[in-house]
Amino acid sequence: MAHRSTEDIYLSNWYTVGGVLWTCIIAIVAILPWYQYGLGQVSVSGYFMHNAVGMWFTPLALGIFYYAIPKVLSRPIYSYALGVFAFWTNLIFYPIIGAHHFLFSPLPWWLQTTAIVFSVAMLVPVWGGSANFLLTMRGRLRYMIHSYPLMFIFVGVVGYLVGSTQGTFEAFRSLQQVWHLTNFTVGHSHLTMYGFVTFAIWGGIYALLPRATGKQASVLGMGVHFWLALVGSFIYVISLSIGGTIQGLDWIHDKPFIQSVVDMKPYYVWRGVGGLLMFLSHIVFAWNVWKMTYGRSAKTVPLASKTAEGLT
Amino acid sequence: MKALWLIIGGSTLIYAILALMMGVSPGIDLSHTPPGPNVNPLTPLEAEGRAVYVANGCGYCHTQQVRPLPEDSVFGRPSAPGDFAYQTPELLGSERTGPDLTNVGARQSSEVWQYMHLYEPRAVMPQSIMPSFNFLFRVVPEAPAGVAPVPVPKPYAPPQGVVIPTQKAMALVAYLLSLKQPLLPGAAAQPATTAITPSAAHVVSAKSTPGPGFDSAKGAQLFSANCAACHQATGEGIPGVFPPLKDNAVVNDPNPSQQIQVILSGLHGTTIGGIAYPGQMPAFASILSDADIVNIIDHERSSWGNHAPLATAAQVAAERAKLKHWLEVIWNST
Repeated sequence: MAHRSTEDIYLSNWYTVGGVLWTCIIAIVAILPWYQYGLGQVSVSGYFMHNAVGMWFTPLALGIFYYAIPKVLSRPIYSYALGVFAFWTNLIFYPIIGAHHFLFSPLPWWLQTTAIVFSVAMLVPVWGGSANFLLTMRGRLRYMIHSYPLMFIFVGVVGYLVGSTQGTFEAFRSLQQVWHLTNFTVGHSHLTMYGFVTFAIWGGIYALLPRATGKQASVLGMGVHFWLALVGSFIYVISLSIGGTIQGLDWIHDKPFIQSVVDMKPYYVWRGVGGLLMFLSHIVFAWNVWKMTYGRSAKTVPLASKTAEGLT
Repeated sequence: MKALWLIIGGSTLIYAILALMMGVSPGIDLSHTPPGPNVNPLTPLEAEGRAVYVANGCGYCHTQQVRPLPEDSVFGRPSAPGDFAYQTPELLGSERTGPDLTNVGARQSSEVWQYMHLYEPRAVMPQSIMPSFNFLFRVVPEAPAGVAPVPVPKPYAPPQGVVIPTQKAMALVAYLLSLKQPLLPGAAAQPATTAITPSAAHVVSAKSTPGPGFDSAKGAQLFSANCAACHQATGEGIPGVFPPLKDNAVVNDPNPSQQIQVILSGLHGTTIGGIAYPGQMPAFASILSDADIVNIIDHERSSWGNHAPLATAAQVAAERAKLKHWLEVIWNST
């Protein structure tokens, strides 16, 4: 980057460089043990939990979006300024929301309230970033059916928008009273870490790896991977969201604790079904990576040329 | 180039400041939270047990934090900052697949119950989904002197030999039994009358219930939370370990005096139907209110085919007064 002659720096560079440097700070703060004991460690845990998500995974996944979407669609990002704005707001709001993992805990009340306030503020970078991606894709969504990389990225963008917005709502005390400590949280974390981050990584690999190796994964292989992962994670998230809500309501209605365990049974079974589909999709993904690297390339026309044809 | 340094230097500097503000400084500050009154460091054995708890991932399914919310009151009083002074690594947890353990030493104070439950959770809680921790136990032909074998019920017992806890299991149970919330200063030694206030109890009795002050739903819930772990939801107990309440002479006695006293002050060893029960039942005088106890007693008297006259809150209050009087007599005579 330092040797580039252009004045502007790609948005994907902003996010990836930032993400890598911030991750170093997270690691140092979380790992050094000499200052965190008892309740102090609880607050550092809260900081770590959400900063690992927000300042490590999120900027790197967004970096993939900012790189791959313009590349695959052969058009510039909708708004450079909006991307920069989302970058700085993400940087300032995200590190403050960690304590929302410990609402109603003995952590200082002001710390919890601050976390809730900035969880709401997170809507700004989330909606700004998502709008930027979706507006870049606008008018080109019909190319998605020709392009699994784009489908993966599209699901990733929707996962980012929906999952992060859900996170804001979950941070409210009134909703935490129902959902905190239940499986709803597990559903939420899979919607974000899987539906957003993992789909972003897959989309990025399918979009960019063939450009590096010159070898393609088969459309069938990518299709099987995509639908298994999408349907699997959908079942997983929906079942845990419903089950978690039932758990929380059981507790509020003063039912014996074991009742909440019994009531979860069908939802645990559905989680198992969803998880199995997700696991199978990972095996197909490994096969696809093999095709794109050491294996024999599939005969697939890269999307870029197809898009170009469509445009001309 | 200037923009590059702005991104690299500026954003990293801002993030470092925010990390100091939101991570490091609360960490340092809260690490100096003084221990609350009666909060003591763990004994070496309990500390060893805590390491077993951490190593086996107990904290993934069990929390150790009671929130100031009505639904958490079954687990104890709300956690206070001073409760965590000696808790490193912290074990507050983020999910309750299983119940909160903040006060489990008071709630489930039977060592035998803890061993049976760890060896095979289904032996004492049929609907439990907790994994078996039988690898913390050993099966030997005969228990060595001084070690009590775990009374595992037939369907779960090994075909031959007896089950004895390893050092890890003993340490873990010592740790679990040490989990008791210390009383806060100013908190009444008497239990807070939980959900049922006298007026509420009156309203309930005025409606439809057979005995004054008996709320059958509340009774079933209190029994489930406080008694069913040992006596089982079926009231049949576990032969030789936890006594049955079904067809139990004390439970079916028209005079509830003895039943109330057992709940108030516990019981050490009894024989029912020719089967000896050598265990120790904890005292509930400081855990349950009179209204709670009458609900539990009436639940026991009207469930599993038991048909005994229901007790009243006044009878419980009278027995509590008797107990207090006896304790004063003993206190004064020593």
